[in-house]
Amino acid sequence: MKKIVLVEDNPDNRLLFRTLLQDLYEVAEYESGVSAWESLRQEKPDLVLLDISLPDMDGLEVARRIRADASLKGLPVIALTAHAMSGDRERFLDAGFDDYITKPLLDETVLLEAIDRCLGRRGV
Amino acid sequence: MSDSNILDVAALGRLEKIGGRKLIRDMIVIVLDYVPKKLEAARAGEQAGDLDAIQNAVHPIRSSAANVGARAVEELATRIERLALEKQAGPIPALLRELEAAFAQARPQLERERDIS
Repeated sequence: MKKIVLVEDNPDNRLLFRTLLQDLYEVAEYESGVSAWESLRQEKPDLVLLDISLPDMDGLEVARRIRADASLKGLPVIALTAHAMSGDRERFLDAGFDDYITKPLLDETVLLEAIDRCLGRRGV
Repeated sequence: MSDSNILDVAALGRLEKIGGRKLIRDMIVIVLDYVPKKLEAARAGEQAGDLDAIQNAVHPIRSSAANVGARAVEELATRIERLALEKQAGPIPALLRELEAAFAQARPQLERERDIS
């Protein structure tokens, strides 16, 4: 079973994503960017779902560090965002994200297909 | 707003499709605990005149409210977040009171949904 690290500070979003993913993937959850970043090398996930608005280190900074790290730079990372403002897609892709999902999640197939795409694209 | 319009049944239906009544219950339990803490943080930010703190507090309220279909709460939190981001402090206190009232109005509906077996 492939492993996904979910980084999300909102507890109801964590429950929702966990419920959606737990039968398909092993899911490791983190509430903050710092704790996720400190654990990523040990977790060795196949993909990261990364909230943008986190209380300490935001998702853009975590993504930047992943892309700058030799052992993690190929890791697929999907942004989770409630911003949904114009230009966000380009901003997130420029920051090194492979894709992004807008919250609230209105259609779970959007998430599952994005994960499938990213795992396939990176050949994980 | 009438009682039947306070919660968006489509949002609850989405949750039920994903995880049955249990997910609805568990989500509402979390939201009823989490949103008041964020409202308190928003009020603290207001008292401190800290727009970043207000923005950080209302941002997750948007998401939580949307997850359980508390549409008025979601809309007010969205407006407040946008004003905080644009550094327009003037309308925020009145909107925060509206947000608190909207959540207070949604709470009994959420509790009813939580308690359905």
